[in-house]
Amino acid sequence: MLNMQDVERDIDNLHRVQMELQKIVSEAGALGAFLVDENGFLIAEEGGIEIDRVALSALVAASFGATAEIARLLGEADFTRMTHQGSTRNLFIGKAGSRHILIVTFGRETNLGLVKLYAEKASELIGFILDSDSVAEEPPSDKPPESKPGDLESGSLPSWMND
Amino acid sequence: MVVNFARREIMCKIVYYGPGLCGKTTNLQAIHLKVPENMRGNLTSVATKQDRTLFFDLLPLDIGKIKDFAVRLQLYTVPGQVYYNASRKIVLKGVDGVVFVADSQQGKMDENVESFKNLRENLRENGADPATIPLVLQYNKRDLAPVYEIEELNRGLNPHLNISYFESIANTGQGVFNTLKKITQMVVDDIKIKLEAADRAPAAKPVAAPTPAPAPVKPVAEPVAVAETPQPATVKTAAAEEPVTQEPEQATVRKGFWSRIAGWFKRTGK
Repeated sequence: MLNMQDVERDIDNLHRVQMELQKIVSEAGALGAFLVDENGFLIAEEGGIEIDRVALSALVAASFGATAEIARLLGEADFTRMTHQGSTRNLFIGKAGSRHILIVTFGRETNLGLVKLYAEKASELIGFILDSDSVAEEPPSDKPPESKPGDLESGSLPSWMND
Repeated sequence: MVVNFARREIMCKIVYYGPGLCGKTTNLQAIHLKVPENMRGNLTSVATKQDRTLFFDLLPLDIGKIKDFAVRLQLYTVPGQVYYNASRKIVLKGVDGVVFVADSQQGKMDENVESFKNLRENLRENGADPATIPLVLQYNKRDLAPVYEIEELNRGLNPHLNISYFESIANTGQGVFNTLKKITQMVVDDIKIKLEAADRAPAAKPVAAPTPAPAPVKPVAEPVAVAETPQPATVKTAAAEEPVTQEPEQATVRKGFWSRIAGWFKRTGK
């Protein structure tokens, strides 16, 4: 049964994940580190990079899903790591456990080898933390939501949904 | 669905499905145009140079709260063309609700039926149950001629009239929000029931999505600007062949979970 201990453990797990992301940013010199689930939902993030996080999560999850299909066509069980090199910004994408994907963005101030070192270690730990638990959440964000939501509990949907 | 206890967020995925050129992307564009900026994110499209959807379109929306949890929807489209099935299957992963957009134009029935069949196959292959997932039909392009009568479309896609259906002209926005409103209500009801079920079911977790109880049906109450097809009494099933009888709303739900969660957050300051 879901109880307060479950909630507390889940939040603590996500704080541990957050610490791993922090390490990637601070010690590998990455611009940002994100954890998304296989369905494209953002779970946790670290770093100050300006980017559309929702779109990034969805695109990477879809791309990773497509890559998994390519692996299957080639007779591989999976491709667990991907890197994309740009002129100023680069991307490392890796599997973190069975249901999550780690995304690291980095620039010229660091190098792929260092990012891979920290990211792979973090992937392993994050996979261990989250695979032992079936609940996935996101740690607290400093950004307050801009919306002024209504109360769905009372059955009232936003007025802009009216034709 | 993902529940973020720490951030008090519930994230859900709604997918617009249907044959090529039926108007899925146009639906998202119409929604993007009308929704206030602080309630939506950017419309992201992975499209070909000819503006045909290659992988998906994505539009994030903030729609309100269940108790203290902000509910965030992610609206996706899939590429409609037959040979993009692998992409459709990827986009369908983890889906919480589906809008099936059918092309009303005469001559398109086979494509509609084939796509609807493909939807059910892909849901099954992804481990989802087409008979219980929230689903709404949208009969689009009603302004074109010649089009099928609504009865003909229902005969092909909704023979038992057990799925909610709406007429639309997506490129003018007509019917788009009635459809969105209905699927949102169904998904929200489904979430509430899943979470309450998780609370009372032994060893269940909110994200693990335990076997859902039938979702309550709440007809859209507000008056609408376009002609809307009257809704049948039973609407919550994707299986056109098998009508599902609704159970009384939350008849077996144990109360108190959300107040206990809220109390815990208050006490711990998390």
